[in-house]
Amino acid sequence: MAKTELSVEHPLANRTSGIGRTVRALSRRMLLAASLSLAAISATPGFAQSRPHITFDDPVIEPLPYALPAFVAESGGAAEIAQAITGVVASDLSGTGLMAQISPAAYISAYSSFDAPVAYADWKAINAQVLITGAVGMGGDGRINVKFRLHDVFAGTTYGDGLQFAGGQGDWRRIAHKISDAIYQEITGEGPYFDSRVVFVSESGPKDARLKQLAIMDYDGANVQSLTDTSTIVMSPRFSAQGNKILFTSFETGFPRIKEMDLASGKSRALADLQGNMTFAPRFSPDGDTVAFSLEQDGNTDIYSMSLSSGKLRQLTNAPSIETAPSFSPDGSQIAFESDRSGTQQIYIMSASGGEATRVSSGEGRYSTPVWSPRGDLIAFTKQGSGRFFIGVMRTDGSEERLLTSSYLDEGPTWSPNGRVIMFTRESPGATGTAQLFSVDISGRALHPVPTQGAASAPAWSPLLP
Amino acid sequence: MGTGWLPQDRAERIGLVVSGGGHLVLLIWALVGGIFFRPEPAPPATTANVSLISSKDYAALAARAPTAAVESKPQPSAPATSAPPPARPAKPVPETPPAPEPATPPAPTPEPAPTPPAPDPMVEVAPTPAPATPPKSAPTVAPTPTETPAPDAQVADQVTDQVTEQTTEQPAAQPPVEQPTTATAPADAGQVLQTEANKDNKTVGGAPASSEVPKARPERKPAPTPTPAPDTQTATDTAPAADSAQATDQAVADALASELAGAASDTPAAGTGDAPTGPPLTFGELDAMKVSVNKCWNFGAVSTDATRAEVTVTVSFSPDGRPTSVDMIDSKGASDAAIKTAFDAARRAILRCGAKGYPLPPEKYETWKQIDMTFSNTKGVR
Repeated sequence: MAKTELSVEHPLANRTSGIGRTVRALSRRMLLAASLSLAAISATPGFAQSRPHITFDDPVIEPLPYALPAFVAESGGAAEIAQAITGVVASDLSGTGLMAQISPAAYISAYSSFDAPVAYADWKAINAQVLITGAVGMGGDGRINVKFRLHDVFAGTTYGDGLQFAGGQGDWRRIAHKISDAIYQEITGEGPYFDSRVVFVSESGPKDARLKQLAIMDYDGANVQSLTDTSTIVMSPRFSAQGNKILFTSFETGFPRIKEMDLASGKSRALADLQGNMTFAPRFSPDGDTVAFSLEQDGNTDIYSMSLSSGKLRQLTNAPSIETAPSFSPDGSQIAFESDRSGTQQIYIMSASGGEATRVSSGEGRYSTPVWSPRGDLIAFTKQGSGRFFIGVMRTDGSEERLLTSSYLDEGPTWSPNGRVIMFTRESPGATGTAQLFSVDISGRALHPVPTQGAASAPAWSPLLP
Repeated sequence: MGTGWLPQDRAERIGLVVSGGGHLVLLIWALVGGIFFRPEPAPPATTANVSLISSKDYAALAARAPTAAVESKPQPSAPATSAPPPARPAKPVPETPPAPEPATPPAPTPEPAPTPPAPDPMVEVAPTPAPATPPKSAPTVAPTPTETPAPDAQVADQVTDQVTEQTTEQPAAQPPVEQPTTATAPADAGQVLQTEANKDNKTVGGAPASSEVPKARPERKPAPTPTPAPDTQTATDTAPAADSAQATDQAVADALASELAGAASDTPAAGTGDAPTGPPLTFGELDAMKVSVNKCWNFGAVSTDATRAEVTVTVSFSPDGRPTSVDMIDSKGASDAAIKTAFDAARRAILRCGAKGYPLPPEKYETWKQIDMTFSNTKGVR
């Protein structure tokens, strides 16, 4: 009791409780004021009246799962073609590395009719984000009619109304590639590239006595056809922008010389027939009227251009070093090339009419075989360093260099028509080593060999077929 | 015996005299020595004044007492040479002839090692250092969908050494000649895509690859009926007022937190008439929603142009949390085709991960029946 009285009467006790009350009162007032302020702000349009908002900035990167039941055959003789088209479409889409097929064994719904309602719940259950359904019919004239639909499973709708293609039975692969292109374009937003071809050097025989000939195939290695025989060594074929002609380097006269082949007729002719001088590394301009190439003269190699219509020759570089591997920009205004003028191979860019060049490669190692992307945004190249070879891409100003592959020997990149995929040569070491074609997405994914019957090198991708 | 108690030996007598004299001096010192050595007076006993206050007042005082600021150690300024920027060789001016053409190219110079991150200045850190999160790398080809993250991210007791992932990407026809490469890392400020050239540089750290989906917020237990607090021996006339003040404080704090949560949800400027009228979503609820949608937002099958697009959509939901419509309300950063692709990817994410309904609190349906979502790939997937 006495202590209680002391606490009440003690000045310190009075002061303490007074401060406490003051702080508490002040705190309440501040909180109330803040609350009222927020309430006032909330009452203004655009604040509390707006909906909750969430920002996403970190997507996952994984292939898009899709379901592809076998196309149904709507006529008696179409079953085999329907099955084959289904296989090519699946190979095309999964081969990109951007999409992954769900195993047909996991399918719940049976797909038996093109126009039957789709049980989207069954496809949702197996996490198929995209469903592809199709059918193949065959007319009395033997022509086939292929139609397909692309379904957005979780939205329960289709992308558009579907497409159909008609052609001869021998066109079934191209029809399949066109279906794949349509799907790929719709899903990814990238341009198509499956319906394209690749010209390359087919190799045979031992490594020290290898026979080489030009050949052409579908982008996926199918439909291989020889363009030359093995009597003459050939190198570095290049497609014209229109896809109807090929430039290549031939040794039929004993030293390298550029030749042009018309694919429709199979006939070839020599270009820049400069007696006693080696010409090599040719490349068409985008308009197809000019050819840039390397000319070795008196022990020095420079880049020249020649008009195919007038035959006029023009020297674009003039340096005692080796300048070679020219590649036009898509608009034809610039040329990327390699030069060792700095003492080691590097990539330079100059005007298509020649003149001063700007070095764009700046990393360690040696850079060679620049190839301008069809989209104009990147340059693919071969890089050598630390005893290894790399295929990489960089911006046209040399920035954002990315190495996509690495091996004992990778070289000679070529772009797909849509600028998304690169094909190149990979050679294995040793006396029994062989050359093989590989392709890789510019993201570095989907690195895989391109199936060929034998050894193959120096691929050149065609533009999209008409 | 005629000698009495005195010792007969002279030496004993001398000892007796000396002993007696010594004792005498000691007695005299004890009696009068205090005159010369007066002790210091003892300090007066002090008393402290003690006040008694009620337990509630004490708790209130303790709660309002300012916390002593932790004196931070002076942070040494980073040495000027501790974090050199990655040296990029200046673009050389094109050389002009006559540069001698080397007969044999010079030996390749070794690839530059990645510049290690600049050491942080000395700071107080958690006792167990988390391994540095490696750049998030995309799978070369993921054969299966990403698995659900582990239920709880556990921090290891010991730091795990980084290990190099050994992958065999070579086809069967290719002999295993691949050697670990020292390729230069791509100059990428954002998400690093895994390529063959950098696959061997992939490090596996202890950090989880993705954050765990937060569990749904447990329902609040009904508040217990307040019972009048019995008076205590220290109750004062200010107790009811203090309780009332605390209740007011709590209510105001709740309102303040709710308002802040709503304001912090990155509200767009588009004020419309379909305003939510329910209580706002909390940070946790918004974050759970974000994680739920984000795990389905897949940029693995979009064009490079689409990865630069930013799209904002309004999503409408049914009361069970399922999305019923997705409408694009804004976009920028790319072509129309790329924006369509980016929108499709966002729409697929919302619909796929919401097929069974999102974990949204039913009592706040009026708030989340429509939610705006912006998909902006700032991490830079290419």
